[in-house]
Amino acid sequence: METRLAPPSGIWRQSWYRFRRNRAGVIGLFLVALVVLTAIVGPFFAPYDPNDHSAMMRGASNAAPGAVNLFGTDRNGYDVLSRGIYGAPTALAVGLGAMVIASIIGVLVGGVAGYVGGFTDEALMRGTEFFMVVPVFVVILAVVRLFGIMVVGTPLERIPNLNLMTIILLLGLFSWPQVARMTRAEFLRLRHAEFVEAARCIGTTPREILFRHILPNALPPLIVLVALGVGGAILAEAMVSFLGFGDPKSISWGQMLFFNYQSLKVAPWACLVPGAAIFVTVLGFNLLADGLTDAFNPRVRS
Amino acid sequence: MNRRNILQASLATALTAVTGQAKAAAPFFKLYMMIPNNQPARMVWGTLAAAQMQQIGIDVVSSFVPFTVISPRRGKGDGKTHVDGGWDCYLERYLYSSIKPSPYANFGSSEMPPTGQNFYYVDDKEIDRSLHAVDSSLNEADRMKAYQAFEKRWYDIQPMTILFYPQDVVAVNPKLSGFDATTYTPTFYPQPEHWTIEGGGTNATAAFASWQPPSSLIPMYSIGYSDSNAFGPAYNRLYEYKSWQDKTLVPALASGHTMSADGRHWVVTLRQGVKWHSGEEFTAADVKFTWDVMLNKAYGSSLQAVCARVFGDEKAYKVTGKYEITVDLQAYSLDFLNSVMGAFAILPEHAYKDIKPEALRSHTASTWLGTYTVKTSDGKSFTARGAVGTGPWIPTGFDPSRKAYGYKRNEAYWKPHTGNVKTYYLVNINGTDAVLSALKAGEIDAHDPMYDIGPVVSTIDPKWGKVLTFDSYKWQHICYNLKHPVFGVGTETPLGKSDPSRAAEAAAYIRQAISHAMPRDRIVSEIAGGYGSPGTVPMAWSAPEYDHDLLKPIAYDLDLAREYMKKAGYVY
Repeated sequence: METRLAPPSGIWRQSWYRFRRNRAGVIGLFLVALVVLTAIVGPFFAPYDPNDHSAMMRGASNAAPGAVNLFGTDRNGYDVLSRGIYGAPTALAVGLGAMVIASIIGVLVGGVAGYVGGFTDEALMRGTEFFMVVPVFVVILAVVRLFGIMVVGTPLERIPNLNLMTIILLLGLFSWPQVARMTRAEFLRLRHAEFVEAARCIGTTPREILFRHILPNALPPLIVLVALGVGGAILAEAMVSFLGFGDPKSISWGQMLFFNYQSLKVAPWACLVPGAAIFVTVLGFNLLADGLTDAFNPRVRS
Repeated sequence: MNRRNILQASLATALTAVTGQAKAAAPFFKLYMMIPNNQPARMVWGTLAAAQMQQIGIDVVSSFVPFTVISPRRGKGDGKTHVDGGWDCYLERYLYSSIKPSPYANFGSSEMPPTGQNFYYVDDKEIDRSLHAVDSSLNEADRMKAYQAFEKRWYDIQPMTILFYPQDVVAVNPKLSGFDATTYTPTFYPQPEHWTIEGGGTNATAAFASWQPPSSLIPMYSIGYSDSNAFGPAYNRLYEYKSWQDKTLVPALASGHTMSADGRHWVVTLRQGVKWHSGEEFTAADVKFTWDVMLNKAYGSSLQAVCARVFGDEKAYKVTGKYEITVDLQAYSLDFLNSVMGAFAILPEHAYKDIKPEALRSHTASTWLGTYTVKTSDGKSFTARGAVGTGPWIPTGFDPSRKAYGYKRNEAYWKPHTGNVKTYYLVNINGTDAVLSALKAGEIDAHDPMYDIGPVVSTIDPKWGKVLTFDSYKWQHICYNLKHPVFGVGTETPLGKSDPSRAAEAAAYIRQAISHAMPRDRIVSEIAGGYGSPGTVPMAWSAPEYDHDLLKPIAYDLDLAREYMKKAGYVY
C-alpha cells in the first residue's frame, strides 16, 4: 500500500520538499556542494603547493598524468591537480563575492523603487537601465588596467590580490540591475498583497512590513537569480583571466586556461582540468538555479 | 573535527583565497615587473622569473601589460621608478638594428631616451670606453678586442639579465619556396619578391602573419618587428644584406662608396634610374632629406641620438651631385655604414617634405588608412594609400575589418622580382594556435618568428606546414631601470647606505644575484621547446663577435644568488 505524505507547511519547507523531487536541481546542488567542499577542504589534501614549479626544475613541465602528478603538470611546471583545487576557492570567492555585492545594491535599489513608486521608481529604473547597457567586459578590462596603475605606491597596493578584488567588485557593481528589476517587480506585486494590506490595517510599521512581510516573500526568485549570477560571475572572471588581464598572483581556472591553451595539442590535461572545473561549477549553479525555480514557483513548470 | 574547526578551516581557506598565501619573511625590497601580455611563453618565463626573485628575498609585483603601457614609461627618459610613473623592470626580446653588433646605440651613455634607445640608462665608463672603441675602430682586430672588453664588463656587472638566445622557428606553406630569412628588424622582413608558390601561376597571392599591429609605419619612428614587417617591403635602404646566410652588406639604393683612410671622409654614389612609387626619380636630395628629418628633434625620431652621434649635425653631409652625397664625419663610426646606411630606410622628399613634423606620425603615410595625393616634379599626381617608397611592394592600404595590409607588386622596381607573387598581404593574427590554424587552412603562407611555435612543432603536419629554423641573432632579457636606487645605482642598499662609494657595486651584486636565480637551461628546454641557448650578454649567440671562450654559462645557483645578496648587505 502506497503512503503519500502530505507536503509540509511553510514556503521554505514546501520549496525544499519540491526541490528534492527535482533531479536536475539535486544534481546541481551536489555539484555545487562538491565545489564548495573542494574549496574548503581541498587545499588540505592538495598534493603540492599551488606555486610549486619544481616540476619545471626537474624537466617535467607539461608532463602527462602519472603517479607523481595525478593530473599531470602544466607549462609552468605546476601540478595541475593542485592548481585546480586551489582555483575552487578563487572561483567561489569571485562568484559569491560578486553576487553579494550585486544583491545588496539590487535589493536596495529595486526595493525602494518598488515600494515607494512614482518619480523615485522612474528615476531609479532609468538609472538601472543605464547600468544594463554599459559594456561590462570592456569596463572591467579598462578599470583593472587603470586601477592597477593608480594604486602603485599607495597603501591600497598592500591589499593582497587587489586585481582579483577589483574584478569581484566590478562584477558586483555591474550585475545588480537584474536583481533590482526582479526585486522591484516582486515588491510591486507584494505591496498590494492581502497579507500586506492586513499588516497595514493592524498598524504594522512600514519598516516591519518591508523586512518581515515583503522581503522574505520576495526572496525566492532573487535566490534563483543570484544562483544563476554566481555561475555568470565565475565565467566572467575566467574570461578576464583568459585575456591575460587577471591577477598574476591569484590562482584561477581562467588563468590556467590562458597559460596553457597554446599547448592544448601537446598537453591537453593542463586545459581540460580547469575547463572541466569551470564547466562543473557553472553547470552546478545553473542546475541549482533551475531546481530552485521549480521549487519556489512550481506553476512555472506546470 | 567539530563544527568550530570546520568553520575555522573554511574561514581560513576563504581568506587565503582572497588574500593570498602568507609570506615567510619580510622581503628586502619591492620591484615592479612588467610582463608584456602579447606572448604566453614570455608570460610563463616572466612568472617563473618573478617567483625565482622572490626566492632570494625580493618582493616582485608583476603585472601583465601590453607593450603600449611599457613604451611610454621607458621612453620618458627621466629615470623615474615605477612608483613615480617610470619603470623598474620588464621583459623584452631584443636585437641590434644591424647584423654587425652596434651596442653603443643601446647601451652608450649618450643615447638615453627620449631621443635615444638606451632605455635602461646603462651608464658605465668601461662599457662606454669599449663601445666607443667598437664604434670607432677601423681595424677589425681592435674592434674584436673592444667587443670582448664590452662582453667581459657586461658579464661582470650584469646590467640586464640575459635569459636566453632564442632560435627562430617558422612554419611555412610547403608549396612556398624562397623563404630563406627570418625577420630581423629593421633589416630583414618578409621579402615576398623572392617567394614562389607552387601552382600559383604567374599571378600568385601570398600572406604573412605578424602578431602585433604596428604603431607607426614611418621607418624612423620605430625599428620594432611589427612595424618593419609592414613598412619594410615598401622602402629601401642605401645598403642591404646579401642574404640571411651571407650577412654581408651590399649596395641597394647606393651603388657604392669611397672612404678615406681615417674613415672620416665618405663619398656615397647612388643608384641611377630608381623611381619612387609615385614615379618621381630617386636622387641625393632624398638621402639628405632623410638624414635631415632624423636629426631634427622636432620629428621626434627614436633614431635621432644615433644620427646625432654619427653626424654631429647637418653640416656633416652635402649633396655633391644628383646621385652623389659627400659625408665628413668628425670621427669614424661603425654605425654610419651599418646603421645609418645599412639599416635606416630612405624617405621620399617630394612626398613627405610638406608634412609638418608634429603631423607625420598620424598622417596616412604612417597609418596607411585612407589616401593622400603626392605631386611629382613633372606635374603629375599620385594617389598614395600608405608609404611612398622605392621598395618592391606598393602599399594598397590597411583594411581594418581584415586586419590586413595590402601590397601590389612594384613592376618598376629597380631589381627584378624572382618569385611569382603579385599580390601580398600582411595580416595581424594573435596567438600561436591561431596562426597555425590559419596556415593549416591555407589562409597564410608564413609567419613571424614571434609566435614561438617551438614547443608545438610536433603538432605540425608536413602536409600543411614546413618547419624552418634560423639562428635568430636576438636575445630575451629582463631589463632594469639602472637609475633605480636599489638595483640600479645601489644608494638604497644596505651596503650603499653604509658606504656610498660602494653603492654601484652593491647594485651589481643584486643584479648578479638575480642572474644566478634564473634557471636558464630550464627556460630553454621547458618553455622554449629546446629552441635556444642560455644567455649571458647582449650579443648574438651565433655571431662571430660572441666570445665563447670568455662567456661561460651563468650557473643557476640559489645559494650563490643569496651570497650575492649578502654581499649587497642583506641579511637572511
